[in-house]
Amino acid sequence: MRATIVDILGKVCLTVLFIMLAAVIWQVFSRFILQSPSTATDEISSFSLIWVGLLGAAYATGMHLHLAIDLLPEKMVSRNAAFFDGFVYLSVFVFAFCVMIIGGARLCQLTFQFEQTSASLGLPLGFIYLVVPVAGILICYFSLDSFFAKIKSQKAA
Amino acid sequence: MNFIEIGILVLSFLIFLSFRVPIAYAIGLAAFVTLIYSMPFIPSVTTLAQRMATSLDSFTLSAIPFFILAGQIMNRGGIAVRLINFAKAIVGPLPGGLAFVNIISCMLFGAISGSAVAAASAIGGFMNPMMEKDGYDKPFSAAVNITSATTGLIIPPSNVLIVYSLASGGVSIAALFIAGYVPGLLLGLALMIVAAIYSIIKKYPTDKLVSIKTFLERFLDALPSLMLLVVVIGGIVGGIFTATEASAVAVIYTFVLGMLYKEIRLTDMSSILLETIKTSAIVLLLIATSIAMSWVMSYENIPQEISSALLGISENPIVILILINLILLFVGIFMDMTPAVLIFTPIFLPIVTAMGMDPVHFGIIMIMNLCIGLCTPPVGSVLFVGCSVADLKIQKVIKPMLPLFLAMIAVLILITYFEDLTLWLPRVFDLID
Repeated sequence: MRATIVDILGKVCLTVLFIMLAAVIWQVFSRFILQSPSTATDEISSFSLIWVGLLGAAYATGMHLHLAIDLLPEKMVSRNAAFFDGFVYLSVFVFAFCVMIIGGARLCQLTFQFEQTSASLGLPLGFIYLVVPVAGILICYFSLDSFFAKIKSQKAA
Repeated sequence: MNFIEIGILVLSFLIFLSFRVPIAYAIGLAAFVTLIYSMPFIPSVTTLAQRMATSLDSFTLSAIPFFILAGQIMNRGGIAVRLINFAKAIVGPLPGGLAFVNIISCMLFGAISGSAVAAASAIGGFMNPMMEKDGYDKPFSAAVNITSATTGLIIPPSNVLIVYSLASGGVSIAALFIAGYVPGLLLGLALMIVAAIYSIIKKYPTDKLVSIKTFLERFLDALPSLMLLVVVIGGIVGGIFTATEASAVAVIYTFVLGMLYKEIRLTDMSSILLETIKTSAIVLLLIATSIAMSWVMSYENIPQEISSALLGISENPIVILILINLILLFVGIFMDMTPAVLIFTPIFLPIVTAMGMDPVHFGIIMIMNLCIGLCTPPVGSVLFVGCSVADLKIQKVIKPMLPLFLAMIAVLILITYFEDLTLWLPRVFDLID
C-alpha cells in the first residue's frame, strides 16, 4: 500500500514538474516567436511550484530522504535507535497534523470563504492551497506507518 | 528583551535537531512551538500554513528545480568529461596539474550548472580515479574536489543567490549573478595555490603540453557546453530572460546536447525527473519552513533585538562585519545553506545596509561564508557527496581540507573588506549604481 502511494505520488510530482517546465518554455516561446507574451504561464508555474514543493516533500518523507544531522554521539543514538526513530516519526506527525492539516484546512476554508481568486487565471486560491492539507495527510500517514513498522520490528526482535 | 521566546525557539530547534528530526521539520516545529507560546493555537497553525504555501508561490523560485534538473542532465549527458578534457589541455602541464584540472572543471561545471553537489559528484566521479592513478593521495583529491565544488555557488548561475534575492526583498538577480564572478574566480585561484604547494611538496607528476591541434579539438568539443554559459548568463544580464526563463532554456539546451552526444535517451527522462523531484523537494520544504520560521522571528521582534545587541557591542563597521562573519561561519557549520540564508538575511541585511554596505556585496559575503560550512561536518551536503563519490570516510578528508579552508577564509576576508572586488563587475554592466 505504502509503496503504491509513493509510486503514484512520484508520478504526480513528475507530471506537475513537466507542466511547470512546459509553461515557462511556452512563456519564452510566446514572447519571442509569437510576439504576444502569455500572462497565465507565470501563475501556472508558481502554483505548480507549491504543488511540487509540498507533494514532493511528502514523497521525500515517504522515501526517508529528508536530511537529519548527527549532533549527538553515534553510539548513544544507535544504542537507543528505537527511541530516537520513534521520536522523529512522532515529531514529523505532530508538525504535519497541526500545521499542515489543521492549519492548512483552516487556510483553505478562509480562502474559499473570502472567495480569493488568482490575478490572471481567476482560479480560486483555495484549490491551490488544498495541497497543504493533502500533503499533510500523506506525511501523517507515512510517519505513522514508519512508527508502527518500527514497533513491530522491535517486538519481533 | 523577550528572552523566553528566543529561548524557546533556539532550545526547541536544538532539541529537535539532536533527536535527528530532519532539518526542514525541525525548523518548522521550532517555529510552531514558539508561535503557540505567544498566539492561540488556530491562528498560529493557520498563519504557519499560509506562510509555507505563499513562500513557494513564486515565479522566481521556479528556477530552482529547473537548474537542478539541468544539473542532473549534465551529470549524465557527457558534459563533465568534455569540460575535464578541456581543463586538462589548459592546466595539465602546471605543477599540481590534475588538482588544477579538478578545480577548474568544478568551476566550469558550477558556471553552467549552479549546483555544488552536482559538481562534486559529476567532476569528482571522473577526477578521483584519474588522480589516484597518477599517484595523488585520495583524501587530498577528495578535499580539493569538495572545496572547489562550492565555487559553483558563487559563480553564476546559482540557486542560492536566487534564494538570497528572495530573502533580501528583491535584490536584482542579474546584479548578484554578475557580482559572483570575481569572488568565485578568486576562490578558485586561492584553492589552486594551496593545491600547487601541496603537489610540489609531494612531487606529483604533471601532464605534457598538448599540441595546438589537440587543444583546439578539445576546445571545440567543450564549446557547446560552454555556450550554455553565454546563453544563460548573457540572457539574464542582457535582460533578455528572467532567471526562471533562463533556467528552463538551460534544461532544453542540456537535454538537446545530451541527446546529440547520445548519452541520454528519452526513456532516461523519467528517472532524471524523479531524481530532480527528490532533490528539489528537500530544498523546497526547507524554503517553506524557513520562511515560516523567519516570519515567526520577525513577529517576535527578534531581528531588531539581535541588531541592537550587535550594535551594543560596537558601532565600528569593521568589528560588526567580523562579528557577522563569525556568526555566519558558526551558523553554516550547523545549518544548511538555504535555511541559513532565509533566516539570517532579514536579520543582518538591515544592519549592514544601515552601515552603507551594498546588498549585493553582502549577499556574496554571506554565500561565500556559508560555502565553508558546506564542507564541514555535521551539516555539509557537499562534504557528504564528495566523500561518498570518493568512497572515503569523512574523518580522512578533514586533515587535507584544513589548508584549503584557510585559503577560503582568506578570500572571504578579502571579499568582505574590498567591496570593489565584488561590485566592480556589476557596475561595469550598469546593474547597480
